[in-house]
Amino acid sequence: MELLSKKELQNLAKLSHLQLDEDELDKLALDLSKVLEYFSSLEDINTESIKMTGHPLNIINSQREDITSKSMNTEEVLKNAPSKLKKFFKIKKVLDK
Amino acid sequence: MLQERDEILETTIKDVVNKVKTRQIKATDLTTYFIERIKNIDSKINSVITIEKEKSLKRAEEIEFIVNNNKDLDKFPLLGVPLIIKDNISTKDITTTAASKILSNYKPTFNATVITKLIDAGAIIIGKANMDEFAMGSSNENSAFGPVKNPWNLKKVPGGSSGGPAASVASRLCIGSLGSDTGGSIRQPAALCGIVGLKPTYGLVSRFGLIAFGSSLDQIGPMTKNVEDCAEILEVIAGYDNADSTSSKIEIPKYSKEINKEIKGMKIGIIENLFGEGVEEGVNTSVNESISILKDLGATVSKTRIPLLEQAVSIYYLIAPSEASSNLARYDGFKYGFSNKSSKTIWETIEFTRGEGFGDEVKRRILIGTYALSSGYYDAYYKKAQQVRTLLTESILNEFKKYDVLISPTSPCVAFDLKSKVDNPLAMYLNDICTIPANIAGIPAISIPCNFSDNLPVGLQIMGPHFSESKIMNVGNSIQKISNWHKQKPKI
Repeated sequence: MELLSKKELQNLAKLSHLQLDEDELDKLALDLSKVLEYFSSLEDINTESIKMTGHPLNIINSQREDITSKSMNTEEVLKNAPSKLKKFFKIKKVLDK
Repeated sequence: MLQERDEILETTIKDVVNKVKTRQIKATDLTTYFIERIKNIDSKINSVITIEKEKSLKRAEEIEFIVNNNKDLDKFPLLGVPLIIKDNISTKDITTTAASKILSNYKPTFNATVITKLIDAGAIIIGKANMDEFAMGSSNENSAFGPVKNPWNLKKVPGGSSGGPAASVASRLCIGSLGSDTGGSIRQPAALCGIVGLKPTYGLVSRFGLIAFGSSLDQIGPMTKNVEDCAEILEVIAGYDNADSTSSKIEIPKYSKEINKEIKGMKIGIIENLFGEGVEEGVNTSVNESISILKDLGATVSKTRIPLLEQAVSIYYLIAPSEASSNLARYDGFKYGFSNKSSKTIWETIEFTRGEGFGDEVKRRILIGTYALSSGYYDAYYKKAQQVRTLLTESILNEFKKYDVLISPTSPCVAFDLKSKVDNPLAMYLNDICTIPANIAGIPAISIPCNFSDNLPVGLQIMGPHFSESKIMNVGNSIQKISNWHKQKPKI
């Protein structure tokens, strides 16, 4: 079995915005490698010119009348925010330096 | 009086509603009775995350007012019926955690469409049920609120991810429940806890307000003691919703009236690939007993092999995590839920919040999904899986040219020991082989109790073509009319 390298896993963690500690990295490398190996059975199936499934019942472009309705008010939107300032979500600085 | 109320535990929703309507039972008494049961019994099984005493009693008083002042009580098919709801379905002002640390303090400001429908039908939400975090798992051991235990044997898992709803219904802590099913999360725990669980056709029930996991697979469905109750609840929650553009514009049948037909002459296919190797002997024997009943009732039963079925687990464990990795990107520590306070930049907040807030299985799936969707791997994994999904769906739908319904075990095994599979994710995934195909093809499937093996319940799965809920429930109900398996309950 080919193991996911630590470097690959760190890159995945970065793409997923997940902080993982060293122990987690080691364990995940093994778990994920086993699972990815299992998926290899799909390789043998001929899928040339087969469409990807989008909606399981093939419903395409479901549309409704363009009627305006009330959306959530600001107070409701902010109700669960861990940190807020007046009418805004309060977040940490975006630029490092 | 209490003895009289204990009878309530075994009656159908129809009877409960009738008793509330005719003032034989007060909605407040009924609500208090079930809340007391939760307080007395749930410490053993941990099936409930939030008990909603105050709000449910207030609602019960409103129901009493309706009973005393409204002549048209037929508008309320669930009048006074106490329900427990899986904790990934949004309930306004009631904590909705998805059993995750990251949402541990989240109170939705709106109701899921199914909740609005239940409340309008007169139901009373008495609590929120434990589950695998974000509905990811088959044993209910991945909960930030601790594992749920199987009421039939406290050393065993209840199944997952709707382990809380299944265990609470089996223990009679409520009249019924709603679960969600992405790869078997309603049916497998229903099987392992000896109750009925239905995954509707994709698009029959609105997903608006369901905390998203795998959006092309997720469906909300009823979990109940018997098929009759299942039909009553489905009738209320089904239907098009313009807040969910994937929901279908079809007329909803009166399910409760459609499930009492004769099944004589019905063509039933036994899915051979889901019997045999890997399926426990006791499960095989129990399922075969149900098949005998169906033959006795005049159904034509024969075996069939579905091509590509063995690919179902690979397809599912690529598509569901891919969709999950995208759906769960919204948890950043800014808008709602848990947030890491020690971070210095926006990026640290996001990474630390997610690192601390998500459990192991959720992290595994986000990473698998990110891998399958990332450049260089997309074609080989995600695209391939969605193409093979198309082929497998065709192959499943083809069967319905020959058969009215298809039958298999719901789970290859009965409830297994707590902790016995947590360290082996792949083994846990392979356990979902019987239930995943229905999600892949978007077809409806129901699990009903069919006897016991090692004193643990076994589930029979009945699948039908798109929108054939009446038919699969009719088959299930036919079995329940002449068997007693669904009437057994755990001694807890």
